[in-house]
Amino acid sequence: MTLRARVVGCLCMVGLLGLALLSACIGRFPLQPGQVLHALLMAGHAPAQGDMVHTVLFGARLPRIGGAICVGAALSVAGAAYQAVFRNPLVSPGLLGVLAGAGMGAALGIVWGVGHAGVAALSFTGGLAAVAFGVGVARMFDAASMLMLIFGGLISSALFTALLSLLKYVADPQNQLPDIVFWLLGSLTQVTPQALGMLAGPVVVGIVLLSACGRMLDGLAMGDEEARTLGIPVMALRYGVIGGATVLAAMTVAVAGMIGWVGLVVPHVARLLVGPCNMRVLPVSACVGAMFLLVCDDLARTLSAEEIPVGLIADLLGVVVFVAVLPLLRHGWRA
Amino acid sequence: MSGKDAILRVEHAGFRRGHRTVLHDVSLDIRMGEMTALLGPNGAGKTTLLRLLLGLARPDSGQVWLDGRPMAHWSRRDVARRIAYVPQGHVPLFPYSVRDIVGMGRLAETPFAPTLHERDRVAVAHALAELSITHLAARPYTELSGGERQAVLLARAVAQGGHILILDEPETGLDYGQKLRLYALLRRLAAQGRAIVATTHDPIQAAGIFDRAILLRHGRVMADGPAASLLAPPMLERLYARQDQAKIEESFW
Repeated sequence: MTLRARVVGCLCMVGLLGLALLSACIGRFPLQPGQVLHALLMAGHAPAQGDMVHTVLFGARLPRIGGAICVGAALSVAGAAYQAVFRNPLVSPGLLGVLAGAGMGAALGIVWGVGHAGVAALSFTGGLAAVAFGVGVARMFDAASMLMLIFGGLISSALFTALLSLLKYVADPQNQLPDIVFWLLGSLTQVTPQALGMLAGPVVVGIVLLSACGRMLDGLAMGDEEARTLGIPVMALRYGVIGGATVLAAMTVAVAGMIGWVGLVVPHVARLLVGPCNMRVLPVSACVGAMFLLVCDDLARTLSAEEIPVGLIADLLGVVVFVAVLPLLRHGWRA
Repeated sequence: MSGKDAILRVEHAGFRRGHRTVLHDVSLDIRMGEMTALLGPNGAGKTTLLRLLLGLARPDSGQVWLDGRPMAHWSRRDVARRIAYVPQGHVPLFPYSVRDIVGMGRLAETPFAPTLHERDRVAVAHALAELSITHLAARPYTELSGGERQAVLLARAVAQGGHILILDEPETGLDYGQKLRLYALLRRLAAQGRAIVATTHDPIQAAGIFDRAILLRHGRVMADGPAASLLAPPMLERLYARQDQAKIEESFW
């Protein structure tokens, strides 16, 4: 590993920890960094009666911070993996329909009134179902063709977007429709410690597994046939990575709604930092994505008295970042 | 044919694409330490034959044997440990460095390792030195000239370390000096005991470089023998002769 990659890796970790600490301090009830650290060190002990610091920190802020880190990391690593598998830097995790499917699943849950956990479960299922549908369409024609896979994803996205519109149309405009709309904007307000516990493990495992495929994904960049002659089981790798990245992306939608752009933008920033090798791009993407969404969520919480949906902030800030790095990217691409 | 040191063997292979038969009953042996040139007019089936040899396509009839076992029984990884492929130069979208590209030759050995192991790094350094491109190691592959890219892909094949080296028109885009160095390298690799198979469009030079020539025409082996005697005017005229109209249509694609 090059010195530069090491330095970037260390800076990313330090930056992420610093940002997390900062995020724990700011908000409606400001805390001093010392108070936060003290409360964290005392986490094992029973808190004093009416300890506001403890309540704010452990009840509200830390789950949210953890949620932002997990969702940002998962979406970014999924986006980087998709970009490697499709040999296309303009691909987002939504390419095969996972976002459309998850959105449709959530809307279905809201219309059926199945409660918060039910909505999350339906959303996760919907995301996987949409990708399964897209891949199924592709395999009906030609399983080995990447173009067919993109075509299948296009069809799947169109189908599930249409179904989502249908659900919006039939939803009760007084209470269900606003719920759907708000949910689709993406928000981290609903992240509970329990949800975070369920999210964190799979996200870490997913990042590690996808990163472990990094060098093989580099080989895939040379084209399918050449990758085969290098000893890469191309189809298994492609579908395995798509599967892993899809599960990650679907989980984020189930927990936090639709936060899409992050997955397209962040891998570019990561590539600027550490070069094109996926063994480094994937973990650095995860780290940068976590930081990015953390900043977005801080802005969402503090910009106004009424909270702004974080998905909206992430989209806006993502555009700004993308436009800012575009001149640098053009240099790196052949185009 | 002596099957004794045949490491790669094609036996009565036929290959069809749609209704068109690309290869008819092709049989040949690839032997260690031998340099084999594959010649024929465009559309004769050279690329398809290379794909059969690489295990990228399976014959519709007949069989391809690698090291005494049918090709289909080998895993991709085990094939890659035995056969290295040098494609015609192309450019990936992402600016991998030369060292990264050559390092890809080690994927079959350590697919999941986060970084190259010591053994892999030695192989990469050795391959870079063999091709005299150590000074290019940190350069982005995307910014190299055609000849330099060819050298990088050759280095990757050397790093891969198989006994068999298959090259698709390796002299394309090389200047005269680069061609001479390429042939010298191939001779050196063959002298180390490797089997070298290359398609080529340059029979005049191939006659002086390769040990053996296989001439393909209309998907059949027209001749197979010592390069120096086969690649002479009478045979070349027959190999590249203009075809009558019906045959042109038949072999156009």
